[in-house]
Amino acid sequence: MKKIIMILIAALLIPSGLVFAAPYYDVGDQFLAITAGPTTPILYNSEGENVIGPGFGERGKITLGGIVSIGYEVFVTNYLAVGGEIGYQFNFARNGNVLTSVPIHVKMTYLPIQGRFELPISFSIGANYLSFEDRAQITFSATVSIGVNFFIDDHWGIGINAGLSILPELYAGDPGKNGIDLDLPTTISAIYRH
Amino acid sequence: MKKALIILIAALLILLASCNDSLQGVLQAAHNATEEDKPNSAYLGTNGSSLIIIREGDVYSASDSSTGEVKYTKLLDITNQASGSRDFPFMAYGEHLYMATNTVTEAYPDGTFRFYRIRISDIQSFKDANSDNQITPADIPDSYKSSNRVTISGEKISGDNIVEFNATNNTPGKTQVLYKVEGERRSDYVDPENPSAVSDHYDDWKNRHYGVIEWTSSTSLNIKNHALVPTNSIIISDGVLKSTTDDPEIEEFKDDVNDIYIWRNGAIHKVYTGTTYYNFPMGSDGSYALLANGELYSIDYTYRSEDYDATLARHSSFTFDPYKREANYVPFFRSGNSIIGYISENGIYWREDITDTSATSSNKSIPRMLGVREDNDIIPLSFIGTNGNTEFLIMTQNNGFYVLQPTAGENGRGKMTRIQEDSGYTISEFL
Repeated sequence: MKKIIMILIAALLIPSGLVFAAPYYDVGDQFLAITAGPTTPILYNSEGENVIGPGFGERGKITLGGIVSIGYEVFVTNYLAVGGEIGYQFNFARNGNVLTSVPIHVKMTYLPIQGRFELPISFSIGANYLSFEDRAQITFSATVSIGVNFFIDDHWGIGINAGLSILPELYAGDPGKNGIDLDLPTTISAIYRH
Repeated sequence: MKKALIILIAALLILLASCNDSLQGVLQAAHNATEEDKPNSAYLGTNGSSLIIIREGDVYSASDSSTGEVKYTKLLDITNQASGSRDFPFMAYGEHLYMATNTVTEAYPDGTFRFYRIRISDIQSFKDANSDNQITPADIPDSYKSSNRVTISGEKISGDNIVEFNATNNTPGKTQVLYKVEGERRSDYVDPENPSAVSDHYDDWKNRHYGVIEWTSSTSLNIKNHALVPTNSIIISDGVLKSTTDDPEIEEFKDDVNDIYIWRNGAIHKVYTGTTYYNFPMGSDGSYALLANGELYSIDYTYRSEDYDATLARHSSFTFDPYKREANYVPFFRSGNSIIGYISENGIYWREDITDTSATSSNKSIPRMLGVREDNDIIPLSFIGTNGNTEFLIMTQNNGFYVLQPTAGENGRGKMTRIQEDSGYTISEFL
């Protein structure tokens, strides 16, 4: 029992040490990340009804989808980077047609742990272009995510991320068409920093 | 930086004003999408206690079996016809199945459109369907020949000019048909240097007509009572047409888009003009229901000898409607003041009395859902009949036959029962 407690304390102290270590990044440093992976619809709410989870041919549901994005950020402090990200997400509806989402976001990433191993915590928000068959709408969306990066050398690294995206579709004059979608993207990234 | 952010946010808010003019949001439409439509199904008519239907491209009889299920027997394999020829079943009536064909034969080397009929009990294949085979050229009615808009060149006019043939909306004894005619038309060109000369310039032309196939004797089928219609018309109900695009080649239909016409006795009459209606009338002779721009209308049509009188009355009593998707409500069948309808993706609804305007929750014009839907989409196709007990038989796209009981079920909210084993219903009781 004592051994387990000691191991847990050590596990908690190691990141703390890293956090309070000298920062790896300076103001003005940049990184570019290309991210891709599956995204899972968790919840869709419209007109008071909830649809939980993805479906494969089931009524009222869309399938698992995929997302790819490219982002560029610049460090404004030693630990905080700000930039933008543009992505493309797809899911399939029951009739086989594609629901498309194009988020164009402003993004902030906080790296409390940085260096060879990193812990990026990101928040992005911005416009999102939705389209399905002959319908299209521009709305807002936002994503929070947390990940782990590993850098092979000083510049190139890979990362894995999990996040939560919220996408409200709002119509000022026709609230019957409103809906909110929650997705869970789980992605891998290729990162270049400079 | 601040100004740029404010401008960006303002631009995004402006863009939030709806770009999507359809009835559903983008996410709604994606979540509500149905399976792809199954191959075309159509109800052709009855043969005794059987229904004759086109199902997945071939002709079947649907009848009751000893187990209570619906028994499907393939009568004709149409989908495997040789390319270039097409035999088209358009009506079943009495003992016969009526076909249109433009197959090239020795007698008809030009592929003239003509009709014939096959005795249903004798059908085994096309080659066997000769025991009671009458071939009648599809004559263009006399009134069309004398039309002052066109001159049909050549000596042969029977059937030769019909290049497309399609029949929908069958009722026992008659079938409405759209057909397209091509030929040559004398040009309206006038030579300014010789204005009295008759133009010898011919243009290629094509026009679409709407007629009724009737038989004048046991051996003769003819297209009767035709009328010129917009090129992209479709038949949507008994004597009802919808035009989907304008037809700049025909003066009368130059600006007609999404208009509803009622067709009677060789003439068409526009009864509703609108570019944003979503659904179409269903009903029987003289009475229809129409959904347009989210409002429900009833149309009562009375034909007089030289004119018509169509009364369009608005019924939009959705005050207490708990279902907010009334704009997708498709009036399916009207019987007096009652309407059976269908909301896309939601189910089949019954409005007991569309004239009830009482401001209470028991208002009989409120759409009430009929029973619980299965997982598969139930897309009603054809109304078959009633057994006289306020129960209706409908044929659906890919789920067989259902009996609708608008006033049965839990709390009288209606019920739908598929005809299958132990359902207690048979097809024959509705014929």
